[in-house]
Amino acid sequence: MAKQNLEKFLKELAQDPKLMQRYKANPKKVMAEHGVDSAHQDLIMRGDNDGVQKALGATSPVPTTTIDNYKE
Amino acid sequence: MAASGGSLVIVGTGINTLAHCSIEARAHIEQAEKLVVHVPDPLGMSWLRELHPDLIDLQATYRQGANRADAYELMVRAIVEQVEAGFHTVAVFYGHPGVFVSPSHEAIRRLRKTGLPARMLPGISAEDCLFADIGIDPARHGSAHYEATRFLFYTLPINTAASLIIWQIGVVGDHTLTTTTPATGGLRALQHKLLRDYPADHRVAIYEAPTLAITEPRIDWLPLAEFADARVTQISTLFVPSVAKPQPDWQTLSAMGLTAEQAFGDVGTL
Repeated sequence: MAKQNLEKFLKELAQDPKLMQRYKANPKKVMAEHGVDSAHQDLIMRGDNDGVQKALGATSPVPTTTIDNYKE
Repeated sequence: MAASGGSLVIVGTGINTLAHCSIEARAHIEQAEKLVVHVPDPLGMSWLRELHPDLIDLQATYRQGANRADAYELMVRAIVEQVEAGFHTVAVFYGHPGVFVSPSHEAIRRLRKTGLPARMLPGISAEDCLFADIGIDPARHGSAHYEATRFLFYTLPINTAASLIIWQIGVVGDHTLTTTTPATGGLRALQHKLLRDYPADHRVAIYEAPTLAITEPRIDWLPLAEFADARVTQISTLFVPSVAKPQPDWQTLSAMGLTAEQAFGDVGTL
């Protein structure tokens, strides 16, 4: 449930500028309103992006962008 | 689902998937007969599953191949296979699907060679985010872009009157395509190479585009002399501002019959 709430909140935030404005003014209040649990709130407030990604289910860091070999 | 005739559209989700994916790309995702996806962020994947629950995730190719070159070949085969089976296939890559992405271009090349329709739609790349976040317009001074390892391994022209953007510094010098960190001495070799053309105190930025709505971009300015000791990740890009002024091309201006005043004078009237 906690993960679903975090997911739902981040999805809404990405697509709702007014919600983003309210969040920036008072992040803890807005996260609490959206049911983001306190551990996830702490990760966000600390700016722990990797921690947030792991909480969302990431198993490894974002892989490197794809590239070719270096042969011409 | 019954195959309707093989074709391919490749789309990008942008860097912050939910905010950047275009209306056109979203429509293609929703209407795909087969959806093949390479999007590393779990929130983006969750959203894509809402749009199209039945999808083929390419992340596993990184574990199946001995190195990234193998993984990219497996990605190409996974995409081509669906199209050749007769499905209208949409392949999704994060960012811009054609910028620093080799399997997308290769899949299109192979399919077109066999006469099957294949095309790519543009997306928002890390470069687009960089221009917005750092606040530069490439029209002003021009800009050159290089992949970090390619920049190290080849003798390439550096124009110090234009911005220089070096991608994938997080794996600089890794010729094996197996690691996710810079090769030993890779960052120092890159710094050393740049010091041939830029002063040690020239301020450069390590940039990372935000991948989530809650994240701010990373824009760490530091002197070039300190770059080799900086923390870099897989999504770091190096931005080197111009350090020289471009010199007027008097020969061309003369041939066009233009004076310096005409060519460079302020024509604004407000």
